[in-house]
Amino acid sequence: MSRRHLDGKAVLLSGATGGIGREVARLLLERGARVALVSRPSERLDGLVADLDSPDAIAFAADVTDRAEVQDAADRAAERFGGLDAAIAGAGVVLTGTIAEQSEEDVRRVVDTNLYGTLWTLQAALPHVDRAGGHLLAVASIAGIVPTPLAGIYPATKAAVGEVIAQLRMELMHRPTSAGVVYLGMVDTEMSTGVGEDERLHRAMERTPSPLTGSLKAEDAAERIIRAVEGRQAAVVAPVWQLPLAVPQLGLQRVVETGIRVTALARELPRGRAAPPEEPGGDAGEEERR
Amino acid sequence: MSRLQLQGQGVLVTGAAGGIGAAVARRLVRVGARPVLLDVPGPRLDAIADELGSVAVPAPADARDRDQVVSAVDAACERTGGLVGAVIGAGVVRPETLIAQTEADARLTIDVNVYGTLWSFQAAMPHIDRAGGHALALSSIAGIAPIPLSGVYPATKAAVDSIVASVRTEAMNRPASAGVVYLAAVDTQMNRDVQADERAARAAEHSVGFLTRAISAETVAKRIVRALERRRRVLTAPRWLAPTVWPQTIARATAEVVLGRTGLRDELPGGGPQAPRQIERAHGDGPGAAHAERPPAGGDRGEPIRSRDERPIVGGGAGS
Repeated sequence: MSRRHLDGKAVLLSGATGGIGREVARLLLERGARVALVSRPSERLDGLVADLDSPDAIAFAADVTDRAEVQDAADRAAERFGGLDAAIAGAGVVLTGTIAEQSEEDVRRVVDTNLYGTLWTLQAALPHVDRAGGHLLAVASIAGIVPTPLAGIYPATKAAVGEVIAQLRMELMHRPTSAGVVYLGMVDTEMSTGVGEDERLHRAMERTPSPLTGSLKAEDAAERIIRAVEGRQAAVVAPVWQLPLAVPQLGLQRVVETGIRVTALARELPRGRAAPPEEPGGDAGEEERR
Repeated sequence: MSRLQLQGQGVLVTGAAGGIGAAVARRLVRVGARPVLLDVPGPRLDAIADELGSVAVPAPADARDRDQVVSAVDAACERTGGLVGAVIGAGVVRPETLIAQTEADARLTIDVNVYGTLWSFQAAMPHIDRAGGHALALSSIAGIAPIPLSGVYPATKAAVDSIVASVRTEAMNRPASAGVVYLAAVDTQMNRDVQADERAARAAEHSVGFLTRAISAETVAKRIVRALERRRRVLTAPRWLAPTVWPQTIARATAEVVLGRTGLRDELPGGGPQAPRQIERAHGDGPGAAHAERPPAGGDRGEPIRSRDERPIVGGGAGS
């Protein structure tokens, strides 16, 4: 599959106001992409737009936990940019605590953002991205492969996100769109600061050998995300030393993905491009010309 | 580790009116345990409860609703004198591609499979902890390598797998333990629902037989109950699935060992320099041992429990 150059491409980015999201937005603009910033309406979103200060960075306020809002934001972004070439589902939240004792409110908040938010973003973006034969990327976490304790339901949501992408790749096998996932370790953002503020985790991390808790810089994480989109990579692990944790499972998923192509199931999967959306805004030819 | 004695002890079964749940409950009765049958109230739950008689304790509740699950489990524990084990199996699947899956179907699947599993763990673990017992949750091979056309089901089963790993790790200083069961096709209503999707049915018709052949719920139930007695961390049914889960199991086991040696261990419930590393299995092993201390009667569940250590046995004198 061809490498994508992001110059002039339209990219939908959810979780845009987060620590990693901001950096992803900045790097996308640097590479000449046009970015649809999806995030809850807030001063932070306004602030981000002001900071980026580019005609190619446009905010489409939406709560990712609300399917209809995300759908609407994706449709508006596609209309504005004349289609979407890629989507990055990056909205995520972690609330610390033992899983056996995490409150219902906390659990629901994490599942809503990380699992539903990712699912709705991918569902909303696919019809548009499919017409451009683009790429869908979700941001997961190493915790989704080997759960970190005291992170409540967070690891489970990230395991689910990894699984969603693995399945999506199979279901898209006859279609021009590809999908991938980036498993991140600790990244130095507000999210990790929040984790560090949990008393128990803070004490634990102080007494744990530093390579195990070392954080990736947000801009490095963002760079890996962008390269994963450009290279249409199936799965990326950053920092790379954590790769061995993920290799067995990812390897198995690749084997199944390849195996499924020769089974009867492959014939039952959707073919061709996604059906056009209700409003006849973008026709397929338009994207091809760009 | 010593075998878990199920004789005369309460064991929670969620999805108890379903194919696997009912088979597990029947098997539990055969080995002398007292199954706590959690499922949505209705004729199907009544049927299995009637069939098993007074040894089984119905716990009518919607697994998606945390309050319902916690109060149903607590109420049932009053009758069984606690829980020594759990088989957390309530689950649904709605066949469709991920992209075409409707919001209602996605929400139903996630509510039952993810929230249902977590709420059941949250409700059962304090009781199981007191008895030094073991909890098993049912995942699927789809949770490791997804199967197309099964909607968000594989993602929810990956989440279940992860929940078990977290529960296990966090209980490393505690007497309770947990494990996961990876299943392929089992001959139940769920499997027939999947085959009702014409694409899945066509695919199954043209596939190599052993990949899609469903094993009987009775066989699975027998192995699940044995795994519970042996406090197994992983069970695969059918057995040929085992190699596919090894990588995951080895990675998790390694992580557990590593985490057990880091400072994190002391921060987990029951840990800390002042607390003994391994809490003695106070009333884990003998039959009737769990009766010694009654689990709380449920009124104290309003706020999240900070630490099971400090938790007073509020309902100690209450109940029958």
